[in-house]
Amino acid sequence: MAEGISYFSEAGPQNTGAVLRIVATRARELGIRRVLVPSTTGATALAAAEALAGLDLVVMTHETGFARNGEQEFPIETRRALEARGIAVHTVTHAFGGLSRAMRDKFNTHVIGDIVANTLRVFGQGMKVAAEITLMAADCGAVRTDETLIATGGTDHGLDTAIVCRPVNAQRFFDLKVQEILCKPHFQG
Amino acid sequence: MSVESRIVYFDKPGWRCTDEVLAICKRRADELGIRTAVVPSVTGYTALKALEVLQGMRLVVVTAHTGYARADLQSFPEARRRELTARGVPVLTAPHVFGGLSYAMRDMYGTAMLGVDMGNALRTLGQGMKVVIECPMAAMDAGLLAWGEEVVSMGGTNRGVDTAVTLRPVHVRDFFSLRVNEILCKPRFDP
Repeated sequence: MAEGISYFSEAGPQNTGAVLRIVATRARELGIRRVLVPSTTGATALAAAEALAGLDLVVMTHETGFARNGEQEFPIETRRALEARGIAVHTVTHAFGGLSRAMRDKFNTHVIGDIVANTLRVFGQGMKVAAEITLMAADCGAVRTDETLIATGGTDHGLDTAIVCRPVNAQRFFDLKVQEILCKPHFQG
Repeated sequence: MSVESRIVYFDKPGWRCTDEVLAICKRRADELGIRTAVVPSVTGYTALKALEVLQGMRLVVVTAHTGYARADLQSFPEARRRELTARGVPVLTAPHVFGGLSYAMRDMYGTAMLGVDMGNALRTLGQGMKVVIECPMAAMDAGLLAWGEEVVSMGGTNRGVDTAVTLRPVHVRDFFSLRVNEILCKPRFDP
């Protein structure tokens, strides 16, 4: 069956609005209720809360300490405001980071998480993020592994990629199957 | 700025998608002005089909490596290779980029190594997606593709093809700079 796919001329946050419109449309067509959104500063989460009103939004933040020890980049007021609207905001260890990043930072050695992440980046940074937050959301119990949902991802900030998939836990990562790619950056080269 | 395009999802992976994949590749290659297609072919079936459908395009056929199924066995019939070569179609038999020593480690020690992990990561988008990435790099390293030229690359699940993308191939050593431009078709993997 032929479906639409959107390619962005450049990766990056300027595509956020378009991604959210694409997600809203496809969620309606497929009867999908849940959407996963990564958000570092809260800006993407707030934009998604507006654009995807009526859908079950799950926000995944950076892990605490990602940028600096002990620091959480997602403002606590924004978290409270979203939670007051019934939107779950989760903060957990990055699925592809974790110990792999510890190895990289301490011993300058790239192990499994880095390899998987860099492999998925052949489809763009956003594809890596969409897959990663899907595992994180499953592992923290924010989503079920028997539901089909839309996961989004971006490059640094905002969104430029969206996929349809059924979540798996990180320990079953190699069982993940991306069903649809709704949008991604095009890499003209 | 975004461009709306088309993607085809197959209900199931496998060789039955081959005819449609080739038609999709031909149409999109014509639209984009892409002149070259990378075609994986184990027995020659897909290569011959591609020759029929992708008329006017330059084909680069990539076979399974010799010894893949069992020692010394090459599944691509020699007569077909000669026929294709005589028609100007290069038929490449080379080590598998994600296999090689990584498969040796897996098979001997049960340890997943670099190539196995990378191949499995790509398989989250389907077995064919691993192949569409692997074959152009082998063809680049063999000197069969021009640096910087966008190509259509196909991949399949066991036999035939069920996945296609457009990309600018890189050498294996530059793998992490590879980027897929468009995904033309793939299996959907409904639960």
